[in-house]
Amino acid sequence: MIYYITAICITACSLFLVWRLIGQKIPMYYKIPAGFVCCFALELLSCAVNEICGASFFGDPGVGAFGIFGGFCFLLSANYGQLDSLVDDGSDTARARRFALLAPALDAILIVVLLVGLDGEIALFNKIMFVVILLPILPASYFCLKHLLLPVDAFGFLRSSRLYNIAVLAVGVLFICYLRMQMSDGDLIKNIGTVLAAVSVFCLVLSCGKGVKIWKQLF
Amino acid sequence: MEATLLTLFIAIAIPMTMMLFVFKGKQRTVMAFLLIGFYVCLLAGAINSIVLKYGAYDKYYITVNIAPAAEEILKALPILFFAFVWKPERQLLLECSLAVGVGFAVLENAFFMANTSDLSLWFSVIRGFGAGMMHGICTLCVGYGITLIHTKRKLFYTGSMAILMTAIVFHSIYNVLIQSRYSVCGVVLPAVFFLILITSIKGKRKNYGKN
Repeated sequence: MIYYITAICITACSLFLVWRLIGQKIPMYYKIPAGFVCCFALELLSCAVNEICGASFFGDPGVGAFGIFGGFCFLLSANYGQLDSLVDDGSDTARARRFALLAPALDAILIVVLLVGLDGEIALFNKIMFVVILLPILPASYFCLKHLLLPVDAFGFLRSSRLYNIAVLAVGVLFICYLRMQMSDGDLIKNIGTVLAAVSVFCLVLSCGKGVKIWKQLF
Repeated sequence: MEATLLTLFIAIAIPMTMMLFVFKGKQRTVMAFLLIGFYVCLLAGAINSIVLKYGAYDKYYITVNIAPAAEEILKALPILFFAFVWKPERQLLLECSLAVGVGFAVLENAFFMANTSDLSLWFSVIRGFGAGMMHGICTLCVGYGITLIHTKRKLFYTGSMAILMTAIVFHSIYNVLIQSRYSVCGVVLPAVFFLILITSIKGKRKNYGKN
């Protein structure tokens, strides 16, 4: 029941965000994370619908898990596709680039420890699938940490997006744990994982809203 | 399965191909993409049949997990090629994307109509609204991502992948719902997304009009 309620809440949140954001005069950088919320909502909906309609296949992550892959591609789009070329002209950023590698390295270690290092109860194919699904977290966290370390830009994006970037880093770590929790047997752990992931997504949205407010004050 | 689909494809595509010689400009391009949509449906049917024949999966598993991915990728390919080679204007690319989705849905619906034993008005309404809107929305969204190919290359790489994944998951949810006893939800889901999309776009145009 907790799972279904969370799925409905996140879906409602994503629909509201899409409704609110299209047509608003705010930077694309702050609109793209809504795609992440939509993807997460679709992932939850997919699991819920599969469960209700009897379409879940035991031990199989299912195509719904690609919602998480897509979601982190959205977060990567915001930082790499939209912001990076604006704030990184290649000069005096080598130090930030080097230190930023720490974030994906830590995420990769966490993925290896939590997912690949599992005992034999999960098929190798599923372990590979989960690693593939989590891959976009690595570049996304790299660009977030890089943008946290870079000096303030003329557009005010880096200054306004600090909290948001920290939130993305935290969401990345939480989602790795969330997927690990979904692979466990107990319903309670699965529900806790889902609620934690949902709360982290709400925090991400709030941090994004805060970023928009700061950006509007700057300009 | 393939024989029925091929027969339907020939019966529908030939009259429409003749129209290509009459139409000109944008109309011809959109019509051509509608035909490409039919062809993509034929191709997707063939791929699904091959997976069913040689893979270790049953039909239901394929429709839920493999078909959405295969179909969405196949629908995206002609749009990607068109955008990459011809560099069309954004509006035309979006129209062509929608045409591929609708073309796909038309042949798919014709196939299901030809194969069902309980053909009814309700069934046609469900298939018409559900599949039509779902394929249309999914391909339109993927097409939106592809429009960035020449303007924002970095955003195109990651954004298109993100939208494609979203479309695949959305398609999978629809496939599960439409085959279950909650098939009405399968129609409502794309309808809600379609309404939000259209209302938002209209609102956006209104806002830009005011400013």
